[in-house]
This record gives sequence, C-alpha cells and structure tokens, in this order.
Amino acid sequence: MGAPAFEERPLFKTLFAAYPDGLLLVDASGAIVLANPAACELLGYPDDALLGLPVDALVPDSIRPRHAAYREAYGEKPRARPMGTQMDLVARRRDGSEVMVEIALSPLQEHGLPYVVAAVRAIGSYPRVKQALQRARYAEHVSQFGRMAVDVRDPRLLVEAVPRLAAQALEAPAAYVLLHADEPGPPRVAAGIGLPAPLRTGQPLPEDCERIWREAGLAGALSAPLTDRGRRTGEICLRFRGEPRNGEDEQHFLESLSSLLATSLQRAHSEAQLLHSQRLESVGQLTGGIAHDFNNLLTVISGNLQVLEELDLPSQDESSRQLVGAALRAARRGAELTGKLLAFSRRQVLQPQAVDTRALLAAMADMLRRTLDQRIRIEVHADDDCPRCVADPTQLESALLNIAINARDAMPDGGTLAFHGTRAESGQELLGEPGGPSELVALSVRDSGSGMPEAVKARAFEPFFTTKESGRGTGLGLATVYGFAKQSRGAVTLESAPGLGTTVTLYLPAAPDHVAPGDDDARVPTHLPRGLAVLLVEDDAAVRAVVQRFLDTLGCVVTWCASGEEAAAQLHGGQRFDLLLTDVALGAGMRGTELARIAQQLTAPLPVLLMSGFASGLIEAPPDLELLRKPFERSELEQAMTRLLAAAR
Amino acid sequence: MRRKARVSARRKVQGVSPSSSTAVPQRIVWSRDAFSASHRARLIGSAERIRKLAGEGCLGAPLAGRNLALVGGAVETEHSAAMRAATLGLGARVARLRREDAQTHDIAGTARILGRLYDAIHCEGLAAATVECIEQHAGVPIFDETGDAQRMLTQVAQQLDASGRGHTQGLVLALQALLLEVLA
Repeated sequence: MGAPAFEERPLFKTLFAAYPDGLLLVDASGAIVLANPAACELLGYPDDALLGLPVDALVPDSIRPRHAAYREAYGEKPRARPMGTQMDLVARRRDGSEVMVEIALSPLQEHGLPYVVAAVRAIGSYPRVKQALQRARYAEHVSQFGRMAVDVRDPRLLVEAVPRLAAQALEAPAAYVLLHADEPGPPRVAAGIGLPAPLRTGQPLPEDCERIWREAGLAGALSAPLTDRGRRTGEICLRFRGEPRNGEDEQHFLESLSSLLATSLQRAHSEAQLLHSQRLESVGQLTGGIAHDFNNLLTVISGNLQVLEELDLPSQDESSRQLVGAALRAARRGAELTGKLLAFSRRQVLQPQAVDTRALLAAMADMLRRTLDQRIRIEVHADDDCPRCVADPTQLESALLNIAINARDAMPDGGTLAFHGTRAESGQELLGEPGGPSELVALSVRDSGSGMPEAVKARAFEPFFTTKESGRGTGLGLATVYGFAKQSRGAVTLESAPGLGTTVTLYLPAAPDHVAPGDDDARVPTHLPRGLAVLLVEDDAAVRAVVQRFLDTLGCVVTWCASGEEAAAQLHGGQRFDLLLTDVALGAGMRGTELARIAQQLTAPLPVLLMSGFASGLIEAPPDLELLRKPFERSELEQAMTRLLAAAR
Repeated sequence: MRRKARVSARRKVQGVSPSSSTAVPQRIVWSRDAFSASHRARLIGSAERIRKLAGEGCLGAPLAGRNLALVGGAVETEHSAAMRAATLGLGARVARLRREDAQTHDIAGTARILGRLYDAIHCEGLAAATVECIEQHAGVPIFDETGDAQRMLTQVAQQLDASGRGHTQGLVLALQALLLEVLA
C-alpha cells in the first residue's frame, strides 16, 4: 500500500499552521514571507503582521550587527541547523521584550527555492534554561550589592540592604541579618524584613525564636554565616513557608552575599580603627607637646616651692608653711596629670625592667585590701608558670590601679575584684605589628560590677571620655592604661557587658629568662657623698637654676652648661667630674643622649643621669642609661644619683 | 532628662557652696587651726542653706562621684557616723577602712594609694605623725578629728542645734557645710 493520497497543498498549509514551533519563511534579502500562528504568538504579532518584516526586526538591538553578519555568511553557505545544539538565543518580541529561543534553520535552496525556513522554539521553561536564568538573577543581585558595597560607606546601610535583596532573590517572605557582639550572649537582629512582631531590629535574638517562626508559619530556614578571619561574626537568615529551595545555586548565592557583607563590615571596622588611631595620635601629639612644656614649668614651680619649704621660715608663720605645702601638693597633682597625658600619648619616660608578675599582683592585692572599701573582696591568682614581664614597674602598678579604680566605681555596693596573671596563649594577634615580642604575659583585672553597654565600651580607651559626673573624672584612666600598654610593646583588651562585670587584660612582653629582675632600691645608699663634682647640662635657665639649687643643697660641686657642645668641651678639657646630669632635649644642638655617649667613651667613663619630661627622642638612648622623669623632687634626684653611683662602683 | 538633672544638681551645689575666695586649700582641714569666728559664721550660713534645700527636697547630690575614706576603728563612733551620714547625704560614696591598715610600715606608700582612690580622707584615732605622713603623701584633704577642731565643730553643731535640730543632726549639717567647702 502506498501513502494515503492527500491533497499536498492544503496538507502542507495545515501542517505549517498547526506546527507547535514558530515557523518563518525568510527570503534571500532577509524578509519574512511566511509566518505560522505559533511564530506570531511567540513573537507577539497579530496574524500576518510579520509578513514583509525584515528578520532583523526580531533580533535585539544589542546583537543586531552581529546577526546581520551571521545572516550574510549563512546566505553564502547555507546549511541545515537542527534544534538541540544548545544554542540559546534571544528574540525580540513586538513589545520590545525578549524571549529565550532556540532556532533551527532549514535552507530550501537545494530544493530550488530561494528561502530558509527558521523554526523558532521558546525555551524559557526548559529546566536548564530556568536554572541559567535563576543563576543570572542571583549574580545580578550579588553584583548589585557589590556596587553598593563600593559606593556606600555606612555599614549600617549595607546591613539593612541585605535582607531585602536576599528575600527578593530567593523569594522568601522574611529575611534578617544577625550580628554577634564581642561579649558572650545572643546575637543582635541588625536588620530584617517580614519579621514577626516579637523580633525587632536592634534587639537580641530571643532564645525561643524558633517557636516564634513556627507560629508565624515560617518554619523553613536557609542561612549563611558571616565570618571575619575565621571568627563567626554573624549570619544571614531567610525564612520560608515550606521547605526552602536549597540547591547549590541558592547556597552559592547566599555565601557570595555573606562574603561580600562580611568583607564590607571588616573594611568599615578597619577604617573606623584607622580613623580612631589617627585621632588618638593627633590628640596624643597635641597633649604630649603641652605636657612636655608643662613638665618643665612644673619642675621650676615645684623645685622653687621645695626650696622655699626648706627655708627657715619664721616659726610663727604657720600659715605660710601651709600655703607652700598646699602649692607643692597642687604641683604634684599637676605632675600626675601631665604624667597621664604623656602616658596616653605614649610619650612618658619608661624604665622597663623584668618585673616579678606574681609578686607584683600579690603586693597590689595586699595594698588594695587595705585601702579599698571592705565590701570589695580582692582575689589574686597567678599561674605557677606565669613568666616575669618587661615593663616599668611604677607605671605598671599605676595602670593596674587605674583599672582597679574604675572597677571600684562600678561596684558601689561592693563585689569582687580579681587579679589574674598568666602566660598569654593568644595575645600575639592583638599586637598588630610584626616583630613584636614572641611571648606575652596577660595580667587581667576582673570586677563583678555593673559592666558597660556597647557604646561605652567602644569608647572606653578614648582620652577624655568619661561616664562620671561632670567634673569628677579626667577620662584619662583607661586611656593611660592603653598608652602604657602600647608603649611597653604590649596591648590591652576589655570585655564587658551590662550586668556581667568588666575584665581588662594587659598583655606585656614576657621577660627572657636571662634578664635579671630590677634592682631593689633598699640596697642603695641613701645619701650622696659631699663634694661630688657634677656636670649639669640643661638649656632651660629656670629649670637649670632649680636643679643647681637641689645639687647645691645636696653638697655637690656644680659646673653647668647650657648646651651639649659646651659640655662636650668641658668633658674633653681635662676637668674631673664624678657624674654627668643632662637633659635629653637640649635645644637645636647636640642631644643629651649623644653627650652621654661621649661621657661613656672617656678614658674614665662617667656615670650619666638623663633628665626628661617626655619619651619622644629617647628611642636611641642606650637602654642601660638611668633616666629621671621631670618634674622631680630633690629626694628623687638624690635617690637616682646614689643609685647610679652605687651601680658604677 | 538625665542631663537636665545634672544641671540642676550643679545649680544646687552653687546654692550651698561658699564663694571661691573662701575655699580651703588642700590641707589638713580641721586639726591644725581652729575655725575663726568668720569661718564659723560662714559654715553656719552654709549649713542653714543645706538644711533649707534639703527640707524643700532640692539638695540633690552635689558630691555625686566623690569618694571619701573613713579610716577608723572597728566600732563606729558618733562622729564617724555623722561624717558617713553627711557624706552620703550629699551623694558621695563612703568607704570604711581599718585604722590598722593605714598604719603599716609603708605609710607613705599607702597614703599615695589612698590619694589616688579617694577625694578626701577622714582619720579617726590615728597618731598625729601618721596623719601628718598621710597628709604629706596623699595630696587630698584630710579630715582629722583631734584637738581643738572637734571642739569648734561641736560649737557649730550646737549653734545649729539651737535653731531646733538634734545634736547629731546639727553635726551632720556642720560636716556637710565643711565637705561642700572642701570638695564641691
């Protein structure tokens, strides 16, 4: 039996009209000569409206030139191109929208007709295409956020944008960002959309949040962590009515978003830290400079007051004696204040030595047990293997006392103040500078007081920041601790939360085993020999006059110079001296440290005592030189000189 | 609201503070020299103002943020109790320290720490030399309860009592006037 006899023409016409793919018959010039109903529907044209149109009208503007070139080449060498070659193309519909299509081409030239039949199939609903489209949408959202991350400097705006973006991309009814605080406790809802009423932005995540979500009918969840150098800092979470789409693409999208957000937050944090340290450095430079000048002034004031105090005032003039005493104490308080200014600006004169950490903490605790309110219980614990630390013992004690004073103020009704000394396991990263000490000692002071809210904690080390009543605190306590720690090549950290107390930890370089502990002052003779020949070098005339007066009253024979050059000439001139007492900063000329080196290179090396009001410029000073902080009292000068002479013997 | 409260507290302080020209320098406040008649009159005037403001509920806490150490024996004396009440009544904090703890071998070192921890120190029953050493090294006002000063303060208290106060109440007012003079 042969094939059924059909009237060919009506049959092909019917076939053409009924074919489910769009069919276009295009002539050699690229004009459409026939289009079936499926093509009209796919491309959004009414019946016959496609006829006569150039086929280029169906190509999006962006690829039209490329298409024209392709069509020209095809016209020269036409060949059949079937469906299924995964050539995903885009067609332009009449309304300007675009539709993903696949196109098969059948040239009819071999059949004697100057046409090409194009079969056009919409492939938007194909799974692979849907997936590609989805990926493109995810990528577009990520790139949109990436652009925002570059343009927007305020990290809060970025955090707020993420839930909206993620919810839109993943078609989730609710999304939020959680951020962990530094202290223990639940994370905070930093931003969110579609949150059920019990959840609020800015508030900690409630413990029973899963119940809340279940009750809101949003039990399905998808999340990605935010991390900063391995530390989990937060999370992006999405909630769904049913099971969420949780394929590789969704995870990849969320991870990209979380990675971008975490990086942006990290950048903002680093910028804030940089700004903060630049601001501190500026304030430090300013106050350091002022403090230096003040120290010279205070040396003159307190020095002259000491001299006045020792004058034989008429015995009946009791009030004069009291007034001098009051002025002296005020000068001492002034010196303490400048000391604090220099401490936070990291310019105080430090005399680091190996400090027995365990003994220091024990002595500190003992002293505080006797001087703090008895309702404050003092605990001290230092590990058996707690190493000695390298620090200026006086300033270390002062730093610990500053921390203790803050702790006391946080415990108005009493509580526990605990000191702990240990070998630091993970303090290196805190130093933030390469080439720091290889081993650290951690000295922590913990109180059971009221703790600090985040806003206070963030500013706790800032100079002049105080939560105390107006006029009650200088705001320099923790700032000096910070400055001291940094200047001692260490660090300081603070952990605190409202109601959970505060722990301040000082990290200081551990002393190498071979470094001997500092000398005990008790072994030093208490008086200077009479007639000691002292070469005094000080460029400030008023300070020089005070120091000379001190030396005179100590029975010294003083030769003074106003410059290093003059003093060097004296040293080389053959005159015998027993001690060189020199300021470090000697105006524009030779520095005191340079003069000290000359004195130490003499045939008979001369003991050298340096005087300085601040530490800048002392870096080059040999570490074995004795330093006396300005302003000083006569007794302190005497002690320093006797200690120096005892060591030189 | 809190800021307003602070401002108002400071205004109240100004209301009861003596003028700056009469401020007592940092020194032992009442052991060395007896109060002069004019000083006594000033204290009485200041105490009366404190009583008035307290009666109106407007005294506030003019010494808020200040810390005072009460160094004394295990048993609190009437004077020490009055000092504690006076200090707390002005909003300052009080820490009770044992007399023995302040009289260690390193009195100067202890005094220096006390000076860092407290704004003023009240000494009771300490040897004069110890008080002298504390005064020299602490650098904060020392209230020493010995000698004529106590007698003078008692006189001020009695004068306040004559205007209708009980003895302890008068002493508390007199101490508050003195505390404000020194610490506000």
